[in-house]
Amino acid sequence: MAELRIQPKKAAPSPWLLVGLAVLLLAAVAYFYLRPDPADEARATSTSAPAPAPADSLAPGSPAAEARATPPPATDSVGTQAAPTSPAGAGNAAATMLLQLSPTLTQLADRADLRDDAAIREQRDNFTSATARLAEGDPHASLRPGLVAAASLLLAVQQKAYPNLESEANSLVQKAGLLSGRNATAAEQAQNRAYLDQLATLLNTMSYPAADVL
Amino acid sequence: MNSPILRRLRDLPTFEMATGDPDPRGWAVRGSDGQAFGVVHELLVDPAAQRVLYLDVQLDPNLPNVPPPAPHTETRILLPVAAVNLDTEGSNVFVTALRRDTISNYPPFLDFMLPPGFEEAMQQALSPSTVQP
Repeated sequence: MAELRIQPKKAAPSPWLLVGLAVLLLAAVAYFYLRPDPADEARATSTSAPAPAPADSLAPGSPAAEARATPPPATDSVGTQAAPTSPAGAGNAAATMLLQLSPTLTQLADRADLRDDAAIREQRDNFTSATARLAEGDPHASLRPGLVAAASLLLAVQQKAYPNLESEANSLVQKAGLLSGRNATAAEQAQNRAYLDQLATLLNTMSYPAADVL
Repeated sequence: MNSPILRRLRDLPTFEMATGDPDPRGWAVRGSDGQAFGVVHELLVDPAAQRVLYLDVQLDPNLPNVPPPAPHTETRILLPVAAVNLDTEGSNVFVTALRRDTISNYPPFLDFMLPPGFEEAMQQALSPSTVQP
């Protein structure tokens, strides 16, 4: 004798719950695959704006605090970064400016579209070597190799990616060749300052993608 | 004792066959001689007891001594589940008390509403004394 039973249907999970779970899963996958590389973010941040000065405990009313209260210069261009801000004397002002430009120069050479070029890599190494003694604070280090290497590096970058900046790059190299490498007299200081300003301007221009530079 | 309220299982969307119990809808119904004479068309259930009470069987056409159905209808019978054996491997329902040539003596199921005395007529037709040799 047969016996057949029936039972109330078990409650199936809502299809909308499954849809929601699928959407969440897709969002998580998209997040992990499409999020910007942390290394790129760090590089972009350090290129676009210098790190803000850390908050310190300056006494209110002190000369230092008043100096801090004055609005800082705009920092959206490389040229303004080259302004001498250290209280160094005129003797090493040019070296200070060059060293301030150094990170931006190396970051430019390390840019994804430039770093694979052999000439740029070579000029970057030359520039790093030429400014190594300056960076170490050697008072007897010569300024000229670093100034010339910076111009050569920008020339290599120009030849790689900025064909319409040829005259500016060549002019910079020519000026570098005329520098004495000293920063003693007022004329030498003015010459170095003018050269570094031109270097900073060209560097600032090259900080934009080649397609945006007319 | 009140008669159970019979419902077609297909009309109860919140019910299904119990886990482990087969669903015989579509299975062939065979008599004592093994000959098929119909197909299980529907199940009539008692929702309160959660049991299948009858198989609604659609008879094959051209059975001997069975009058042809009205146009656009089929001849159907009800078989109490307690009177059948289920062959789950072969998907067959066996009714040892019936055969193709005796099915004409079995009361046809004409309407979903069970007329008075219908169940008694079924039981009488299924009793061993009515089975033809």
